[in-house]
Amino acid sequence: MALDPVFGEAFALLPTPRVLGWRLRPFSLWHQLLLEEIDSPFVTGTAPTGPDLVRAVAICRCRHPYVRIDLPRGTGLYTLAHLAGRFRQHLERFKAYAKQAHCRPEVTIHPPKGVTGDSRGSAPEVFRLHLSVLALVHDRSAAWDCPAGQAEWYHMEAQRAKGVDVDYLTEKTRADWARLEAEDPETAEKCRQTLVEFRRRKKEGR
Amino acid sequence: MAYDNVIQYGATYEFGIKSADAPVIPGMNVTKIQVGYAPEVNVKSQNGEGKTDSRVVDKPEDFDIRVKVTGRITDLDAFASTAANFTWRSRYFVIDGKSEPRERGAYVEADCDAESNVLIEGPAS
Repeated sequence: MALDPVFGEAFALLPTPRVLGWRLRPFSLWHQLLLEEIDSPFVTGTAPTGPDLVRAVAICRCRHPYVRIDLPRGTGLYTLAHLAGRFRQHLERFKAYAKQAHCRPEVTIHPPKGVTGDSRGSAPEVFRLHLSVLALVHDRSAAWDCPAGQAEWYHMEAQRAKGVDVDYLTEKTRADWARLEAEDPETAEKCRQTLVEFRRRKKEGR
Repeated sequence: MAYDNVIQYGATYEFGIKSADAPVIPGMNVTKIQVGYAPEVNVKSQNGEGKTDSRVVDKPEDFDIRVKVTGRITDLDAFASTAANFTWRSRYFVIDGKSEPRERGAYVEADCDAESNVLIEGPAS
């Protein structure tokens, strides 16, 4: 049986790219946390600038518990030489690197039968992912440095072990979605926007 | 598969992209419909010995139809607030239940339940 391609991408890590001349570490939960903390355009979805890319590269070079939002002192000219005239190229390279890390399993979580009432708030998602990995490795730094894509899979299986009804999507469901994206992109876009709105409302407890 | 001599119960119909046959429900892109048929009238009467000696059952074309419609949600508010009914295959369906939307990979999915009674062809005028 062929391996789920998303699972394969999460665990069979390719060498990380060089962006602005700097080799990045595998995109981890720690990197995700720091990017969220500084409201980086790479997590908020706004258009990133050169300084945003430099900060993101600095963050994605460090390991827990270090926090770095600037490249090493004295390397400004080195970075500028890579940036000059090739901002878009480095930007696309970073986006491809960050996207590869978000190899989350596609699942449906079925709520327990008979449960009603208002939904409650919860801790940030990156922390919940960290806790699932921490339960396995018992090392805070190793848990924070866990590649983000792998953490998503560990987390989902940890939920299943606790009794949450997790339903991994079938090839057929994915194929149907791919067909919809190809033949009716307008409806597919509406569905995607509805998902974003649904998650936002869930976070707000609506 | 189309049957000539029997009625298929509990069939699931799946709709292709932009299928003209799919029921129209605001806020939902219908992907499948599970259908069940049952006679509305199904009466037995017994003789003096307690044995059934008379039976009245609906004609098959007059059976009640219960459906469970599943689809991708394209508008949360439209799905939640409106759509009390829809018409499908010349039968008028009254929606009597909706599920909570749930995440399913790249989209949100939900179900709604509906029933059609043969003599009800639309809202009371």
